[in-house]
Amino acid sequence: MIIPLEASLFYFYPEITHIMNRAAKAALASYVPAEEMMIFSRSFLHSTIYLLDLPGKYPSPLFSFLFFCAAVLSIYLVTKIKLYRPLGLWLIFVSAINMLSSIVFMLWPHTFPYTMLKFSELYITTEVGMWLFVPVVMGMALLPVPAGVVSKGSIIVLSALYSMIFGMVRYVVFLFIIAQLSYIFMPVLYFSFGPLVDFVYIVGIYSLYVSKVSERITQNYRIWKWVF
Amino acid sequence: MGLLILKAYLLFVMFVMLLYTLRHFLFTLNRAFGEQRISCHDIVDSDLPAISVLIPMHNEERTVAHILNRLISVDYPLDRIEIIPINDHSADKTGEVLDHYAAKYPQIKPLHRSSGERGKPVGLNDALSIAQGEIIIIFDADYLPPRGILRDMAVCFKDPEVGALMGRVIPDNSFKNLLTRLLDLERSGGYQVDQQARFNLKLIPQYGGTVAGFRKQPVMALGGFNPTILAEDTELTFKLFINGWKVAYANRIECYEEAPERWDVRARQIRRWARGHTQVMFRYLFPLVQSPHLSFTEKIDGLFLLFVYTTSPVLLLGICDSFVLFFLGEMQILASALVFLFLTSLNTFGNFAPFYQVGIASVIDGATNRLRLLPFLLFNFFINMWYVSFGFAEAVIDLITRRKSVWDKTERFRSTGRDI
Repeated sequence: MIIPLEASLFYFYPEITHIMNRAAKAALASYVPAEEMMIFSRSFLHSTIYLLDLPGKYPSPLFSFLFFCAAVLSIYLVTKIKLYRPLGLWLIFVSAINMLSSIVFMLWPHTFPYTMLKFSELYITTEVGMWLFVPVVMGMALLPVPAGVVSKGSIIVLSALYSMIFGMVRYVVFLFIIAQLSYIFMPVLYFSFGPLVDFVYIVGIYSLYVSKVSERITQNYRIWKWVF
Repeated sequence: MGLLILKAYLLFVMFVMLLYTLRHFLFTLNRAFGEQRISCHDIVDSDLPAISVLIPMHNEERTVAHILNRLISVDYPLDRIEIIPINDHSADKTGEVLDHYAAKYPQIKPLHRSSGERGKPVGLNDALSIAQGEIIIIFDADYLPPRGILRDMAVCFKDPEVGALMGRVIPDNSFKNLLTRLLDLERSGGYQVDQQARFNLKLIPQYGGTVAGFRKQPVMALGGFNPTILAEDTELTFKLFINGWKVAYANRIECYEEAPERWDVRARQIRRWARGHTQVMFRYLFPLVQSPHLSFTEKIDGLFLLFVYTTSPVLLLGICDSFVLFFLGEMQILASALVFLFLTSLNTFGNFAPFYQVGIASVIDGATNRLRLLPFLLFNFFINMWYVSFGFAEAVIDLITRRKSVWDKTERFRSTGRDI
């Protein structure tokens, strides 16, 4: 089940990245002049991936400074205010990334190594990696679950599709935020709302499916009667 | 050169995480499809050994009556049981309650400790010196042992290879809040799958220091518990295996405990575990590798177990490393690998029980509703990574400065008036 899915993903990912960039270009057309957006291609793994280039924006020194102050203040507040601890740690994680980003833009703005095209490349390569890993991870996780091959296969395909659609929507949102508000947001978007968020839906889909399976088999007395 | 080191480190982190992912996947497959090994607890035998039940206590007025009420009604011959609550420097009414019970029930023989060092290992050593039983059973004070548990536990020692035994821990307050529900999930993955699979595969099931028992004679011969180590349970596990004894796991010997109800309490608990476990790692790494009593697979599993709390600081450094690589513009090549780093870091979702392991454990338990909380284990991911790394760092400082670690007892939440 996984092998044909992986093979088709391997075969179709250039086309998917092309669709993704066309969709992003269309979605951003109201905010960025069409002539300033261009789709490029480069080789990746065995084939080609498509990337979108559009004008980026550096933050002003004042904005970088204010951003730095906001990050430091939020870390201070999180440590002082009695906040739900996991949420507090998450906010510290996010603020620490923002702090690093603002330091880079305050002190060495021209050393920031990304343009919109390079970010597009980073995002697309990460996404292709994610698309290829999701079926493997889901397949491994579902292997010991007591359910039929068809139903497990459907969940794996559903997860792969979700991963693509979610990745596409997130791509547009990331490009929009970075193009409109500046590069300073790029690190936090990539590290906090990038691959890490993908696990939440992978685990979420798995948990909903397995709870359904569990519900079905716990109602079947014949399966469980040996316990009593 | 520096860049090469940074990239190599990221690949190293991924390799380590991959190894742990595969290990837990193997455990999950074994629990789902493999032949299940059971301990001797189903044997009915009237020739029961003399046992001493030790209950370490420090300010346990909220829980002491509950556990003693349970233990005085167990179905174990009265002439073969003694209960030794260890009142370890309590400043509350624990001592008074113990004396009240001791006056009523001759099998309860409290050990009041008000001078000398405080801590579970020291208290256990003192209690071992007065215990009469050949088998020692340990419960933490917040546990609620069921009626038949002592008989089930004692009979497991009919196997002459068994030096120690571990039962299953189940939170009794999982309904309280999200944290207790998540800990319930975590415990389920850790016992129902992890411990059972390690027992099935003849690897290293862990003696967990509560709902647990051991033979007094070999443990005394091996020097009892080391008071400088915070994880006396992990230490005993390795001490026994290295010296040719086995630890048995009995999944059906279940006992209820009180899980921490606040994140700060949980954070302190896991930090202490990490510190203690790492202290054991420093002390037992070479003896484990050199022991003639362990098979190759036992040694490999022992190494995985010893290093398990090292994965959090390794992962934390890996994430910092990826930040540096990102700002240096060196992430492109590693972008797909970064995905894998995050994927494999799912190992740390539930205190080293990956989501698929917790999922299968919950299916076996028939815990349908509990399963839907799996994504919330992300909360544990951050808490574990942060506080385990703290604990690890403390253990390194302990090693370098040779400072003494102080026992930090887990706070209790149970109301004294609660009907148990």
